[in-house]
Amino acid sequence: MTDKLQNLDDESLMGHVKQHDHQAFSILVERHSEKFYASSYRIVTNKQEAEDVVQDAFLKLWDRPEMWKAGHSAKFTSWFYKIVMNMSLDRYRKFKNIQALGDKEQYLKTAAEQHNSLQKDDEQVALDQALKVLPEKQLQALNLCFYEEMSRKEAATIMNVSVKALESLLMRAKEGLRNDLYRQGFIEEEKIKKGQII
Amino acid sequence: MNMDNKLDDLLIKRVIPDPSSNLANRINAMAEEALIKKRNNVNNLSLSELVLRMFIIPKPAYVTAFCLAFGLTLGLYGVSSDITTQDWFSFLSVQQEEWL
Repeated sequence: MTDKLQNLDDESLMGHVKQHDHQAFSILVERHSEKFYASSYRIVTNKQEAEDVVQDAFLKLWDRPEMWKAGHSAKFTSWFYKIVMNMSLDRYRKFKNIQALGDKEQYLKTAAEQHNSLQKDDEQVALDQALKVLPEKQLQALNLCFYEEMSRKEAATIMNVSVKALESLLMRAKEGLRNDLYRQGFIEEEKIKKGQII
Repeated sequence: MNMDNKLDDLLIKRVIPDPSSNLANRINAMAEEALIKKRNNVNNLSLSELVLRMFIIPKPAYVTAFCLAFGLTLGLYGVSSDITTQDWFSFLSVQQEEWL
């Protein structure tokens, strides 16, 4: 039975999940939890938070599998990606609120511990900092096109924007990152002046 | 190195820590637990609760409207079948003096 389920695609497995088939659900979790964890981490930049997001998203799906409507959503992964992204952005906003309240010491301490344990170099730490201050939409566009390797059209559909708007978001995201990295001394000034930013 | 390439290179090299090795197992275990809990909740219902559940009206507004319409129909047509219309009107228009 399990072997038979293993060969099914995600959409067919969701049909089984709707019948409260735990095995089908387990296969979906094993197939995608790491990928969605990475997607979430790129937004929340915190291991524990990213794991919580993936866990909550899957449990929500298990509790209410009728949320998935096969006719409306072409691919399970694109649909579920939206859920994970929305939940990640909620956490990301929460973090920004913590920053606004000036109560960020604990969060930064955890982030610093993470950096140490991962032995990130200065450039990576600077990049993480630059990504943290990017506006939500720009960050999402960058993740979809750069890391998730989605086509512009697919990414634009997920974000509910036009392809042109998505390209503009990507351009501004990269520009923002370059400017931030320049301020932190990781990109040379001359090249920015020469107009090579875009 | 070209600045675009430099930025792309940095983005590619971005380190993502591995998730806990038991993340998938943890999610599956929690889902199984939730399923068992749900089943137990149904099994643990007392007899009275089970009987009460049989009388839950799924669409109370529709049921009320239907009962009202049914009652009115029965009231209007049902009366004329038992008592003749003439009897009914003579009963309603009875004069006090005649009674006396």
